[in-house]
Amino acid sequence: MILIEGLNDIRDEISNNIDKGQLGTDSTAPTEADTDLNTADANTIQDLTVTTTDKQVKYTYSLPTTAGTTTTYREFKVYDNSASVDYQRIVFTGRSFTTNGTKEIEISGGFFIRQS
Amino acid sequence: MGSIIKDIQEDKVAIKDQIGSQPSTTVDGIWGAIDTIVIDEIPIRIRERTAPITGNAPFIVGHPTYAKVGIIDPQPTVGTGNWNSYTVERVICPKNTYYEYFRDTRFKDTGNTDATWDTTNFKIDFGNSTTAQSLSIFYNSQTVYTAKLTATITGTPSLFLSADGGSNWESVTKDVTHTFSTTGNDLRWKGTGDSGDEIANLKIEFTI
Repeated sequence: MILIEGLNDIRDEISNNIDKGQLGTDSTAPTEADTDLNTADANTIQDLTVTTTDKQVKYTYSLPTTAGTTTTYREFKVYDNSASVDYQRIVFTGRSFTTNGTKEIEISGGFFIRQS
Repeated sequence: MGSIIKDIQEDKVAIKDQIGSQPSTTVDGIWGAIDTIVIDEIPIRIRERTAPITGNAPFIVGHPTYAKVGIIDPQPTVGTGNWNSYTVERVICPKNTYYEYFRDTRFKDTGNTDATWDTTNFKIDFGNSTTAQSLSIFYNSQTVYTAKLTATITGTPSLFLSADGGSNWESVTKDVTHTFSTTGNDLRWKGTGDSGDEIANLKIEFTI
């Protein structure tokens, strides 16, 4: 029996590692073999806000209107910057963004650790 | 993230083979236990907010419009002004699977929920004639065609799904794949029940 204490220890390993988020423009569906965004925008790298609850890690990413590039974003990842390890990549129907425009983007997600 | 196999424990069978004696075997115990740890990706929500051009606009540091004198009237000042409210623009469920473990109220539709969304005991706890309803659990450009709801259920709450943002609710049966009569791109769930009815460990697998 895996104990909750152990599951939360794994949770803490993830929460202590993921610290950055980044957007990109490609819409190719993610696979577990991905090692980066397909078309990353370096101007979108931002710190994550990471919180934990019982067996759960949550993150929040914010792209301020003064950052980014004027483009349409379609992919997003969270990663461990110091280790250069990507934890998650998603794609979504594009959202337009204009640098120094009027819009900010906020992305939130997370992970739940459990015994099967 | 895949699964992690941890703590595999085995005890080996002890066999004694004594010279001159009948071989004897002693089984000390055979245990093969594999505990699997699963990491579920909870839904990713993309929200946006905009700064108004007129009225009580916020001061945005470094912005060529919102930090510059003489462009917006009245002039934004540091520490004042307001953004417009966030709007949900996308909700993505990796592998088209929504997990709700009731650790928080992130997907609780507060305006349409009078059942207890219990984040201490991780469940929906219904009172008499009460409702629990979610916000969008999938919201993207694709159409949702089918969905299967599984959960740990106590009592007999009624279960519903909507593919069009709550305009049309369709009754569903736990563990049975439901084909939507009214499709859409905004998936939500709802439960109604009475005292003693509960929902926990909710999962919805859908096709687009």
